[in-house]
Amino acid sequence: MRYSSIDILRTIGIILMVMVHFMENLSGATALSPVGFGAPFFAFLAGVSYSLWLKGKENRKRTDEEISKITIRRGLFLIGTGFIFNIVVWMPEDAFNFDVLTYIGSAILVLNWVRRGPPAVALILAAFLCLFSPILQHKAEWDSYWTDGYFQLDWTLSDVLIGYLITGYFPLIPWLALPLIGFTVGNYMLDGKELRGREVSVVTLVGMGFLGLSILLQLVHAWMPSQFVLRPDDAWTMFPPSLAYLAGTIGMTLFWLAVLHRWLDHNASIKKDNAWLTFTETMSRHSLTIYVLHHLIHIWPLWLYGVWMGQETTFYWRQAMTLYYSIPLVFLFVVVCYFFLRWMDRTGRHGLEYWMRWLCD
Amino acid sequence: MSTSDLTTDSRSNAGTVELIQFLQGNVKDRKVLHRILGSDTWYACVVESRTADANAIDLELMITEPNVKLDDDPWFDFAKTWCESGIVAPTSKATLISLHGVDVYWCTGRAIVRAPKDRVDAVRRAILEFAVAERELVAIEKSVNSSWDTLEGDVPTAFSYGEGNVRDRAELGKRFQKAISLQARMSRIVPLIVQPAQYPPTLESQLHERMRERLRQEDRLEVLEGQLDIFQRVYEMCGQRSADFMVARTGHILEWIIILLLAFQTIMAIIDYIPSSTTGT
Repeated sequence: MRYSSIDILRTIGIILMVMVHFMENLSGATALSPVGFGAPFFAFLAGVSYSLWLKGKENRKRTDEEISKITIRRGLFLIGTGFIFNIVVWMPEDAFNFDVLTYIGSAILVLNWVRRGPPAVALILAAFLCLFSPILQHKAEWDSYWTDGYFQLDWTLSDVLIGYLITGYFPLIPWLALPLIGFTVGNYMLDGKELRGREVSVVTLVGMGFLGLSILLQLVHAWMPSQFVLRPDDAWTMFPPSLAYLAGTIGMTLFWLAVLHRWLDHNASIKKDNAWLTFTETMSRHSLTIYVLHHLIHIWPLWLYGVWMGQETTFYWRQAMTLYYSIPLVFLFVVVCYFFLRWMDRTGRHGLEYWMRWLCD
Repeated sequence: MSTSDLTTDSRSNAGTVELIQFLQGNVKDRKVLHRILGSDTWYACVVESRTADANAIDLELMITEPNVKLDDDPWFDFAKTWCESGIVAPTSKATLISLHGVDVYWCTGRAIVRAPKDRVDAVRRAILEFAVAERELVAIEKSVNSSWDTLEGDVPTAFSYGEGNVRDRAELGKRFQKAISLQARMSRIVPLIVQPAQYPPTLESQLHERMRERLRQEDRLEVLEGQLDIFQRVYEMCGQRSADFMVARTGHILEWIIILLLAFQTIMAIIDYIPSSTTGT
């Protein structure tokens, strides 16, 4: 069955990401950007979707080996797409900035290993990833890799390794925690046939617990041991992800997934073909395509305009326009993108998701 | 169907219908028709009214008296039709047993007897003793036959048990319990079916024996034993696999905690060893 709750959250995630990127890359508005829920939603739902995909394959009696092969191919496809994306969109010198795609690809490889183990191991690993991340950020000297709010590294094996693990845009530590939790929650809460009322209530309460923990961590931020704090003056940071940020985003995703699932997915009175759900389903099904497409749409013109004006390629990055223009452009992009995707569906044209399935399944 | 439902032609053949329920345990407030001794004591109790609880009726027994004794006697057609149209869905066609001037038609849940008045009690006792075992046997057979698909679905779990099966553990446990309880239920009716021949023979013992033979009760018991054996073996293996898995799983979690802690310690050590690359390097 298709879960409208997942579609809605993924649509919110992808729209938030588009918004953050447009505002940041076109207007340099990092402080005004929405609080960074886009990527966590996206990453968490990657884990949930993997659990549903896995159940589908198991129900169709696919062998464990087949599932592993497909999963590994999908993971490698995303990692490969991530590197090509970095080179094509962000120039070759940013090939190793470890963006969302390389991270989700790696997460899928890890999930292929985690799926065979007890759910407790996935949750313990997620907890370790979150708790150890500030310590490792200190040890790796996180600030030395970040200049003016963006990640830079030397092309040495040690920098690439540390960037991939700890200091990149989306390093495995601690970001891997989100797909791991998503995968565990998907297995625990989503049945496909009926609403698991008790499990949904548990997830809702756990989500609220995490939100409470996040508030508590922000309140006691000033008194926390220095090893657990990289930004003494700011408790809520996405780069690097602070403990309060991690708890808040995990809590938010858990809470909203549980609430929307209870309210929507098994509710016969809500028609699944209404305009809003059609919109979210379309956006959700093509989220990978949208992620790549929105970068091409707003980054390439910057580079081309810079070259055309005789400037450095990246000259207009973060200073192309004010927020008065970049914010409306977000909504324009979403609307145009939706109709473009509907046209693609109607005319049998395929996005990246299709090519991933074609190559890997 | 009761005697009042019969057509005028049939009415001449109709006799009195006794509605019977087989019970165990406390039957203080019930009218007991016969006490059946096996490994458990069963009571054949009279159900006063059909409308009270239709499901409570285990056997409808019609007793008629002989009028004429001819091969084309309409009683046989009437008896067969009445037997096969019982409220309990018949699993087979009605069977006729004729012995020492007594005719008995039997079908699941219904029996009709034509016997001289002085033999009715003996015939009734034979039928009731047979009926209680037959009722149990049919119930076990039905339960087994409805579980084959589930068993086939569970066979892979008897061979390999994984994380995906943990959620089904309670269900597997219930199925194992059901297989064992069916075996126990079957064992308890064995004394009612496998009995030593009585000597000197009586009408009651001969009729009881003839009915058991005609309905192949002993053979069916053997078949059931074999079938339930398969169920028990599969679910025993499932139970063993699941118990092993759960024990190993607890150990694995502890092992993984240690491995993860070591992994993080290793990462920290690696970071310490790698000279950090700053923008100035």
